[in-house]
Amino acid sequence: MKSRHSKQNLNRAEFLEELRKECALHFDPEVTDTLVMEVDAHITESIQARLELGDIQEDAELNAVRSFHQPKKFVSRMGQVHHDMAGHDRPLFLIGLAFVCWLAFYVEDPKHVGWIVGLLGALLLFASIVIRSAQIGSMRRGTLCRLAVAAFLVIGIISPLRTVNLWAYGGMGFMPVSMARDLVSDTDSFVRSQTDGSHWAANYVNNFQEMAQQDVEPAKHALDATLLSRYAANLPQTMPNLAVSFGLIVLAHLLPVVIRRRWRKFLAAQRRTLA
Amino acid sequence: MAFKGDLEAMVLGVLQDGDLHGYEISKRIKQVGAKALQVWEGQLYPALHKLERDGYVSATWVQQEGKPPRKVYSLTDEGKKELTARHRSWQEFSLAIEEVMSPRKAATNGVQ
Repeated sequence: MKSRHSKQNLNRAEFLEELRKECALHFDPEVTDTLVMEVDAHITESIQARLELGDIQEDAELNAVRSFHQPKKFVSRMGQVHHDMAGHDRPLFLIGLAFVCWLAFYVEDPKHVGWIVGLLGALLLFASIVIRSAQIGSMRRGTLCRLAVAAFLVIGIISPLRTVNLWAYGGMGFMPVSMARDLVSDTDSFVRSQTDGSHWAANYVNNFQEMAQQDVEPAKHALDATLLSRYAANLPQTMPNLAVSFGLIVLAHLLPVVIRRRWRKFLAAQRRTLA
Repeated sequence: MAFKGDLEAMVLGVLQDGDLHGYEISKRIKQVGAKALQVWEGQLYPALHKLERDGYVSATWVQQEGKPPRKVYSLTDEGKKELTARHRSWQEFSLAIEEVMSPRKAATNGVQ
């Protein structure tokens, strides 16, 4: 609470310095400069008006600054307009997710067509970062981001149900791979007992069967046990997968943020050097 | 403000009197609103930048002697149209609220 209180009592110079630092983390240098200049001009006018009303200089400064709230909160509000906030960028987060799922696709089966679309998502990720740095209109950037996400979703929908998909979706939903495979094994039995032998069902059954033979042999021995007890029994084997899945989620979230922050810091350092 | 979403309409409203910079806009709203309207600068600038992004206002930098340059906002043609539309919808809204909240004459329709 103390730090919050002290932030509300920043003097003009401190406030502008904080504002500049906060803006530099989230906005392009040009946006940062113009915003700080604009706020500086506003505070000047505000202080002058308060002095004319009889305030002393110090009070006038504090009150003029206080009406902007904390720099972080102010920048957060401005970020909702400029769509440039590093930590609150859903399209970039989703593209980051597509990128790590591409890694998952590739590691699991390089021959599977999914990795090509995943690669497209990864390229779009880097393209969008470059485009953001180039300050192209926000609508075009948004379209680009949505395109990447749509590409990822399309490949998820049209791909046959194979381990590669389960791997990716397991990574997205904190679902351990072996748990997903167990579910497939159960579904296999269910589909076999329920389907009328149609081509569609037969394809899926073949896939399940193939997987059961290749990947879920240990799980087949436990088919008579309850689902929960099998998860418990397989926990030591699933832990590494769970850890990898969790790592992928964290990576997907942090990757775009870290890259952009590093990029902005690099640009700021370049500007300082040139100045 | 009682109705938070109306800050943008208020900004458009005060800009129809002429070009103003940020501080003047907040001052004018407070003056016209006679203390009933409170505008925090932390809310004003996001609203101004959104209006600028949407093309309802345009901005130019004006240099000043001995002071930092200031950004002066003016209403665009699109902004004028938007103001008219928002004014109309506000009138409809306030009339509806007035109808709902105004005191009724007791038992005029015979319902007990």
